[in-house]
Amino acid sequence: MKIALIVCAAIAAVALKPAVARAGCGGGGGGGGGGGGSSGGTASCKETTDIVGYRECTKYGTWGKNLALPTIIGEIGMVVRRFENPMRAATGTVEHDDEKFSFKVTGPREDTKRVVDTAVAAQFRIGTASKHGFYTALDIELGGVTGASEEAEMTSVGLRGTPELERTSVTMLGAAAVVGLRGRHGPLDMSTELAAGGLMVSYNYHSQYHACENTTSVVAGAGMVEARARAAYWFSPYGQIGVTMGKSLIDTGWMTGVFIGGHSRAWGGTR
Amino acid sequence: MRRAIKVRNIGAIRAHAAGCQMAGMRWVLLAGLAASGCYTGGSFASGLTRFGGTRTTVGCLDLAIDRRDDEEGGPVLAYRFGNRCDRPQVVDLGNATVIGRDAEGVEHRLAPFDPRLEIRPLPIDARLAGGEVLAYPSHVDLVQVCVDAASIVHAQPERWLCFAKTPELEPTPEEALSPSEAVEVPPAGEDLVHEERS
Repeated sequence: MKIALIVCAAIAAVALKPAVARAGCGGGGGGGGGGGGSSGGTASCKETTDIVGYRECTKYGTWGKNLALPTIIGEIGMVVRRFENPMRAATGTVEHDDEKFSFKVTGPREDTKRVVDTAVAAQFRIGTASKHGFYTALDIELGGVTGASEEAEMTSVGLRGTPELERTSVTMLGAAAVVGLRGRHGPLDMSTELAAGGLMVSYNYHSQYHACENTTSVVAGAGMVEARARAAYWFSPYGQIGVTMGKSLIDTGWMTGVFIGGHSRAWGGTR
Repeated sequence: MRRAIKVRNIGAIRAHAAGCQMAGMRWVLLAGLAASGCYTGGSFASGLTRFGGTRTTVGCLDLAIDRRDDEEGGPVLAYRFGNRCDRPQVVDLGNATVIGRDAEGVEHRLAPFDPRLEIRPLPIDARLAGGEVLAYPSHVDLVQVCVDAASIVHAQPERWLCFAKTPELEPTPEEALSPSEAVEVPPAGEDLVHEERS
């Protein structure tokens, strides 16, 4: 769980990182969403013996602990995701010294035309499974969007003109709850699953107003419901490597990826 | 006066964490667990740590038992085991039949020292290794201790492993015996099983 918390905290830190002020500028700016988006051990214990009854730190039977707990799944992988970019039109702000500027971002999703962008992301999964093959998990994806088009336009003017905006990156953050069913045949696992959650894209900008530099971002998000199929190979009783493919049930998006995972019980606890 | 408890093989116990044991909530071991390949049947080793003592296989369990220096007058046995099967195997060290024999040949049934009543049957997961060290309090000096290894997994027939007492004095090279040298004198007329030693 610590790993999951650390991963979640790191992702949250990245996603929610406030704009950084530099070169003596004022505070950073933030953006409004468009197109349905939103803005945004114990103390050390030293054993003197390993004999049961005399030792103090380690309880009897630690070698059987994993069977006393539910099967825990941890996975890390990489996915390529084609998704309908939720960015339509949004406004953002950026501050330089005491001046505050606003700008407008027009995303690739113009009117009713749907634009599919590609993201390459790291995927993290933490979950639990039953011996009957059912499992639930939380997926987190964090990556970059390639080729996302947009137009950013300043909508306010300061005392010395307007800042120059330069897009630095477009990042994607996704999170989904997953339920699935899997079956094992020898060293192979096949599973189907349903994932529901959301995706968020963040357009990140560097703003320069004469000698003053700052960063800002505009975010937009959308829901995600996906059906997936997975195939995995058990390379050890506790580890597997596999591939996953998914299709969005609410738009034209799809995804595919690879993963490597560990289970706290042999064969995922299905024996 | 209570003798200081000897520290022995603590490193080996800790080394299990580097192998396939899951201890508490240390999920960080998941990755290592998955990558390590875990316990391989017949290897009598966990990670880089080889099982010391006399080896045998009972049921799904590869088992090694070593007799250590006596503790407060009673023998101490170190058990190391690995599950060679693809399913969990119950390990019941509390059920192990352990018999000590004094210098007169009188047999004494021994029970492990368990003041916290923590010794209980527990399953060990597939391809995992583990270990425990148990003391068997005794009021008499036991020159030999025998264990029915099969009783640990509730199996039949009996499989006796016997261990001589650790020599008190530094032996000469000619007299040197391993502390847990298997002795070919089974208790109660049972056949002694000769096992491979590490």
